[in-house]
Amino acid sequence: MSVLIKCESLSKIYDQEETKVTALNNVSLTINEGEFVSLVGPSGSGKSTLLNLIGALDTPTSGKVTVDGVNLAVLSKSQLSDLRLNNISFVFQAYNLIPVLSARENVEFVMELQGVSPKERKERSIAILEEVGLKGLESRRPSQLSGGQQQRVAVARAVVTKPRLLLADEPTANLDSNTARNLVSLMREMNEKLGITFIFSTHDPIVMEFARRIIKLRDGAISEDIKS
Amino acid sequence: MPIILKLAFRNIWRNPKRSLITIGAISIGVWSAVTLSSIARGLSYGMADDAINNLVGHVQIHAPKYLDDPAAEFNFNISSSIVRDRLSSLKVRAVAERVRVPAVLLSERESVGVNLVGIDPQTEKSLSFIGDGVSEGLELMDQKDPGIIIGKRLKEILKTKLGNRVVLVTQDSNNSIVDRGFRIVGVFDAKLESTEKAFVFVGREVAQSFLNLEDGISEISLKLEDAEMVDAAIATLKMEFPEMEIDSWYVLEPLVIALRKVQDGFLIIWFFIVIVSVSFGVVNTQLMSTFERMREFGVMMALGLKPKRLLSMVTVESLMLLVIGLSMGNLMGAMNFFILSDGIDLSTFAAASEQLGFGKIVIPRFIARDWIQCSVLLVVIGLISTLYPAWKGSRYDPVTSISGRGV
Amino acid sequence: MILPQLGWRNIWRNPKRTILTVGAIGFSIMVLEFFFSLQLKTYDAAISASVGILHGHIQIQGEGYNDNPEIRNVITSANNLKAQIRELSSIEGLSMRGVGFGLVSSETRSYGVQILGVEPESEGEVSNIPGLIKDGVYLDNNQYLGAVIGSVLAKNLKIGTGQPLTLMSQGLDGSLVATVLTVIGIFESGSTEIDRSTVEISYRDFDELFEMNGGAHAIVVRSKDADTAQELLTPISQIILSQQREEKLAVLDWQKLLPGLKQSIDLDMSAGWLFYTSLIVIVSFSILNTFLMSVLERGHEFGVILSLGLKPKFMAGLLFLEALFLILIGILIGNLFGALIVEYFGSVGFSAPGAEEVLKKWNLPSRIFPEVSLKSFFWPSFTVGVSAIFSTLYPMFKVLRLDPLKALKGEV
Repeated sequence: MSVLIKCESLSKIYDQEETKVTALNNVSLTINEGEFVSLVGPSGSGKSTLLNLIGALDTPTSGKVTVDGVNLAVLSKSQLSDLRLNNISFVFQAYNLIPVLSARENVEFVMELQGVSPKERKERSIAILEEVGLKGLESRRPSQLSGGQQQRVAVARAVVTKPRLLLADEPTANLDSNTARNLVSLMREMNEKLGITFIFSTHDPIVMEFARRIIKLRDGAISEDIKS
Repeated sequence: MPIILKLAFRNIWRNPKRSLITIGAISIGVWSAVTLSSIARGLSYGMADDAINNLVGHVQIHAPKYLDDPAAEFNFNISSSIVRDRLSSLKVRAVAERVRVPAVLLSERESVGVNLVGIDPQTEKSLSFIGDGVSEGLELMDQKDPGIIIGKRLKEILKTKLGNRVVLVTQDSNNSIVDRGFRIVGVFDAKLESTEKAFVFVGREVAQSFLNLEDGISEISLKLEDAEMVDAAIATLKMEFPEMEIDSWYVLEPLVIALRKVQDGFLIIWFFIVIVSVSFGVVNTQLMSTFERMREFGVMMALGLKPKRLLSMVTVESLMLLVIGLSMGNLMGAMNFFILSDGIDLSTFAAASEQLGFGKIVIPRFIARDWIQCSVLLVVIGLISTLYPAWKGSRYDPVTSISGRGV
Repeated sequence: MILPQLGWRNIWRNPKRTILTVGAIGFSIMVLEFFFSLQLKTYDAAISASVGILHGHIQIQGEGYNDNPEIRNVITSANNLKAQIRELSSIEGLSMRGVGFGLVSSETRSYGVQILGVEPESEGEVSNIPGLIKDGVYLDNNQYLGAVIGSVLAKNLKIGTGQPLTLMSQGLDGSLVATVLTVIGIFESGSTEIDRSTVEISYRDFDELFEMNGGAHAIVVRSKDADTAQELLTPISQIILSQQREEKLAVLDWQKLLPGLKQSIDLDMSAGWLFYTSLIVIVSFSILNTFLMSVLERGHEFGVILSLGLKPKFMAGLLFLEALFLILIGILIGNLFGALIVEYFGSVGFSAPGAEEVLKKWNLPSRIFPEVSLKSFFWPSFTVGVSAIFSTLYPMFKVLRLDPLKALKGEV
């Protein structure tokens, strides 16, 4: 398995009204392709920050992030944007979807940004929505779907572009345990079928159940790195 | 690109009340601007029409010294058929030969200064107001008719009536004072009382003999089918008759053109003011709607949407609001013309319209240029002012917008 | 107590929106004040200019003379009347005139003109013409049959000072008037119409020529300005009544003497209000939009306040206060910038491009210097303020009918 992500001595410090907050303190780690990793820790431990840095949503105060051999720091804003469009996908805790678009349109949205033809977009979006178990609900708008269904659409959208990496920030936080379980097992499926690398930030034990590697964070540093 | 259009359109209708009120504000702004401008234009273009009808015509030809000193002495000999012939490439509606000099008109009781005009009644028919006929008595039958036609107001001032005799005193072509009696055969009614007081009409040949002119005339006035061709007509005539004084109606009636010019300037400024006022509201709306969607924008950028595309989406939203409002405003403005087709009655301001030189009814007029200016200004200013909220929306950094928790 | 503070802080929660709303109000007030001041000043200038040349602020004439200028409609033994009217305070000038119509001829030309018989010693009190002689001198009582004519008439007659001018007319009794005057002065009044058609001779000559028997057609009065003139109308009428004359006299102010001017001003004023009203409506819509949005998005906040036990009236009052603050700030800013703009143009003068011809017609100077006046500043502030307050009614109405639970969920 090849190395997909390499974090070297990452630090992130926020300036907050007279105090400096160190979100990440000199964190280094390597993640290989195809892994299913969960970053775990209490609120304030730095897991979301780490996720944002890997996903090129944020820039470190010091240190380096390399994705697939490319140092994120040398990329322009435009190139980072392209990276997120083609190679990295996100699923957030909530508000993932564009409210005025239907489920299918939400999934098609990213493909349209990529320039995929209308026919192909339609085929692929219907197919992926079926895969995540939402057949028949394609024309519903987010407000007409339950929380769990919305998250599924988010996952569908995230994987339809065949990204290398999928980052999920507390995707199950708003869901009941059954729905959460179903969601994560779906994501495990995607990981095994499509070979997409998954990194979660979570403190949901259900997610941790499914994870094959658990990295524990505390006060901005890695305290444990458990492979199962 | 189509996805941007689809998104923009649906986004507008997320908050129907807000969008409708904004569109309402834009339409009212546009409608008011367009309505007022069409009324103002009705006034100034109406004045122009009146001036043209009021004996000036589109083009006038005179002997060189005549305009400064309108005496019988300054007469010339060009026939209307020659003029028509020279202008054969342009469509000429009517050409009239006239004798025109200042005179004093005496009735039994009063005396008044007037303009004596000797006309060919037939040619005046499609040319000027006198061709429309008289309200009392008879028109002049031809250029030999010995009678005189005076205006209604003049008749009142002179305290005379149809059938009575009046005496005209003036200077002939040799600058001697001549006088002759005429019987009032007809009384005309004109839009302005000043016209009724100013002009009296006799047959042209009668005037020529009265003033010892033989074949000489004081002026040729002509009207074209197409008002736009006036400059072309003048150029042609100047070449054919280089020694004559040839003028267009706008040189002869500078007040009318001046008013139009002032209006041009004022209307643009007014459009600008209205549009800026409307824009305050539109920017407010867009700012708020952008603000509410920060998180959503963050998600879209996380998905790989470039900030520029986001900017264009918000801009397209503004554009749609502007265009819908513009169309509605223009539509309502167009309806004006049906409602106001009879014109606006200004009889309460009779003395003012008399003095300023326009008739008692103002008919709104559609001048395409005004409407186009207004629409273009709206779109341009509207887009410029909403650029700020759009830019703000696209500049927001995804991390801050998506997560309330930055840590 | 707490309400005003809360209201004030609330409007600064969203500075951009506050600035935009204040901006809309202020901008419209500024625009209205500028145009209105310009309008009022232009009217003043037009009135003074027109009145000052010849007509004066007030004229006393025989009844009916204004509509039908008959030479027989005469004011007899005017001296007594003149003396009494002069006594009134705020009279700045008074003079008597005879008015006739006749034909004047030079060697080569003849024209029909208005003949004015004026009192040389007092005519200058009511008319600018004596002071606008550009060639020669004005009339005086030492000369016989001298005439002063307008510059355009002089040009048309091809006549200059020192040359003879023949006059032919009809006298009071219908008899023929024929005499030769000498042009002693040529004036340029600024009004082409007057310059083209007016000949002035001394009243003494006019009296003799036209067999007036000391009667006059008009007593012309000048006061400080149009408003003062209004106040003089009643006292003058009373003086006339007290004299118990046989003939009926009329007292006319500039509005009756120059009805075209008065109505033009009225017409312009109405047109102006048409434009102004449209702007006010537009701004009100803008403001309605803003207030409504603000209410709609604060649903949750209102829900919380209601759940604490406060009544909807409280929130409506809060909203009203916020609106009031915004409006007041807007009025303040509008007046500030309005004053700046008016002062600026008040010192450098404002001239509309291309308006020379139009201005000439009203004897207006080419630059107008607008002034800050109570009238021009109060009305725009008042009307914009009031209609802005009206705009808040619908949003407030919505707030009064809020249901707490719905509001908490954000459904307003």
